[in-house]
Amino acid sequence: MEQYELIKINKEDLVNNPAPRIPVCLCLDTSGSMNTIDGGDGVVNGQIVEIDGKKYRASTTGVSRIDRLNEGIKHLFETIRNDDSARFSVEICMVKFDSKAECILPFANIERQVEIPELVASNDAQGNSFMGEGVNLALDLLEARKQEYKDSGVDYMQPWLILMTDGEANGSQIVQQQAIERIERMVGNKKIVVFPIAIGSDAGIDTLKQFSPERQPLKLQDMKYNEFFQFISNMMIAKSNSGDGEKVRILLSDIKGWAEI
Amino acid sequence: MFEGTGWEAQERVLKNSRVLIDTCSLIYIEEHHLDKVWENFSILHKYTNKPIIVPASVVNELDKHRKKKISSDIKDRTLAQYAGKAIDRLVAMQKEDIVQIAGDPQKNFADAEFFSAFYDLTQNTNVTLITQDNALAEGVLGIRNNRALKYVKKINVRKVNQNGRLQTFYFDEMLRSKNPDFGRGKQPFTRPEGERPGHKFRFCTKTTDIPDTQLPLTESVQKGEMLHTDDKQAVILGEIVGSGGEGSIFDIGNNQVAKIYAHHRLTRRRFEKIKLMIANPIRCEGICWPLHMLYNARDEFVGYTMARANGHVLDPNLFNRTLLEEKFSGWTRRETIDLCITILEKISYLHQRNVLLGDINAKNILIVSPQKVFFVDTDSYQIEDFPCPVGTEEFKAPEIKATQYSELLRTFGNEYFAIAVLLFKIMLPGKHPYSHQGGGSVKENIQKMDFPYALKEKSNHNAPEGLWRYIWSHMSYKLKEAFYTTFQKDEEHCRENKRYGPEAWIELFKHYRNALPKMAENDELALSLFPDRLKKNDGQYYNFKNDTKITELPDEALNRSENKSSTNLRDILLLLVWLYIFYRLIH
Ligand SMILES: Nc1ncnc2c1ncn2[C@@H]1O[C@H](COP(=O)(O)OP(=O)(O)O)[C@@H](O)[C@H]1O
Repeated sequence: MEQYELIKINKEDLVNNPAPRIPVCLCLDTSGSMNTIDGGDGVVNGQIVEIDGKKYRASTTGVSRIDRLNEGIKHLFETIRNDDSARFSVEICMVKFDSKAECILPFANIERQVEIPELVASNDAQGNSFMGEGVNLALDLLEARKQEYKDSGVDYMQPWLILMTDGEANGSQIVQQQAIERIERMVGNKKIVVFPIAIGSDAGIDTLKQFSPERQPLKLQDMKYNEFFQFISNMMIAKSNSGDGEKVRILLSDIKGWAEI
Repeated sequence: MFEGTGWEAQERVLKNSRVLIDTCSLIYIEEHHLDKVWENFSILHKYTNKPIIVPASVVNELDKHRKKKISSDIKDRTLAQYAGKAIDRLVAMQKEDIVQIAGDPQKNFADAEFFSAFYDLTQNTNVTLITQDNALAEGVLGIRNNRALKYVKKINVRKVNQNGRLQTFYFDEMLRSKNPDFGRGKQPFTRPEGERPGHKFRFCTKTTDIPDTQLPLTESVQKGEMLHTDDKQAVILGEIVGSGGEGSIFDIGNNQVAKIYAHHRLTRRRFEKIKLMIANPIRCEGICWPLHMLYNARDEFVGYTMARANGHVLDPNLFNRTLLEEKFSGWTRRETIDLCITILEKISYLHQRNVLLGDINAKNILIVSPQKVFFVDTDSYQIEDFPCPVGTEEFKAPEIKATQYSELLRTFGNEYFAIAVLLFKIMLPGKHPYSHQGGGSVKENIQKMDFPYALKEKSNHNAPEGLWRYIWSHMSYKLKEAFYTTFQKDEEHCRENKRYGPEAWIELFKHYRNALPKMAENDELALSLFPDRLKKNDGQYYNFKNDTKITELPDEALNRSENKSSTNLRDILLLLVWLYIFYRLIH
């Protein structure tokens, strides 16, 4: 499709849909360690590889974290598409970060996002995880989207940032500090909702905490990616149906199925 | 045709309507050996060729009584005998086509169903109902007197008296407190009593002090569980048909459903409120008012029963073009205007009884057709000093400062704001009146009261992008004016005590409906729900690319002048007629 055509369609989708929008950014770690077998019960072939400065036994079978994550994200999109309120309200963009941060799926009407990009974990042995850069990019995208809503007279609710990582941040300290401060300000002004999710055993819970001044990071249980994304889509559906209040409430019973508590 | 039968007075009524007969009258006829009633029915049939309608559920009911012929209770046995006779009679009469049994015999007699069938019948033909039951009579007459129900033909209710004549009901002679006795000991079936004529709830300004303390519930209620109503009828919970923040809705058959609350929603205040609602029933087709309280085996309050609603939930199905075109294909402006009127008439019906909906919200309205809608979640309505404990930001009037809905008693003015928002969102499918370029959150926008659409030379130039201003431009001028003066700060109807109520809106929409054919002649897009350009203005198209200033369209200017000239013509004609009469008189 012509670039111009695409812009026109996106614009029409934007302005002719009256539903208040919930812009969501999935901000995802794709550093090398995301290749780890989820749950660690994969068959191991004896070879030792070094990723993120740690040694792992390489595996030929089993499902890696990144594959589970891909599966979970597909599930999220499907669930949202199947709900008549959420499909017109929820708008998703995706950012991945490893040794750089990159937007891999820009905002659009969810019906138009036919192909969801597959995440591939980096095979960079340095194991870089530029979380600060990733978060900065995510916030930029959310803010830009919000501005588009405002400019064209589309109602919206507070944006959501879903931040998932299995390691510590090791990008530029300055950028990271900048991202943390931005988040603090936005959360303080109720301008964003952050869901910080830690993956695997050695995730940097403390790092995630810095990115979420209000909400405690939750640790994803092994193999519970689909359950987590089901929970997130339920929250989105509830939100798009509620049409009011900016508070997002989470009950213990909602997270029992996937978080380590 | 009825000379000497005692039915002369009924002749015209009976000839011009379909006749329906109820169980208790059939029994009464047998009990009092009033064979002449049937003789008269066959005379009637000769003249009209229309059989008397007996609902299949009535036959079912009779059959149930007949089966009690071996009961130990003498009353049951007598009743069984009469019921048996009545059935034999019906079978014979059916052979001669004097009687027609209608409906599904498998279905139990259910009030909702009966009323619904009855109501449908009254759409097309006059109906005379013969019954001995004052509650039923009241209910049916309620349909007749109900302004909110449309296109109802004539409804008459008669009872058989001991001389076999048909007589009208006199309600003052059977006040509620009296135990009505029409020749039978016990009513053969129970049904919710009709609305008390003229009953109004108190209008309160101080919240009840009954607390929201949780009631005990030993075990959570499950599908398949047997519950009972306040009048000891068993109810079995079937499939879940919906669920919300407060609990779940279960099918219970008979075209009814049960709302079962989540435990944390079962409170003393809620219990007292539902009790009040059930004690003072509202019987308006489409308003799913609580019918009976529900208790579990331990007699713990768990919820209530109500009529089953169907149709598509207004939000999102009407608030989104894709869904709208799928669910309501073929709808034009006319259908949405009719829908607004239907909804407004129901709201007006409630307001007349001092019931505020409180949380006016398009998720609680289901649409079957422009003339048929259902209101659900009625237990959240504001009734007397029980607040409506929920609310939706989009519909919250700017003057409401309270954040705690559970302690807020709304005013009619607050409610009128919500009504205006709802109507706007139906007319501009899904678009909130205050969404505008450069806007903030819904709440901030409402507070600002900066209405973005244009009226005459008044334009804010900040209407949202997209089709919205085209849709706006095609609406009738009066309606635009009403929206504008309601939503724009400092305009005539913007304040709480100055807003339009449902009756005023009904007038505006009826006017629009009448003007529509003319408007469509002027511009064919007047009928479109999603016009893609502004209204034709003196043959000119307006292109809105560069935010050209909108000159307010002469939409009915044309109309008005024509109306005026036709009025003049009528006046002149009238004058001529008068002159002629006068002339004849003096000559
Ligand atoms: N009388 C009814 N018949 C059929 N469906 C109903 C009825 N009442 C409610 N529902 C459906 O059940 C769902 C929840 O009902 P509601 O009363 O709004 O619950 P809550 O107050 O918990 O939100 C709604 O989606 C509604 O469409």
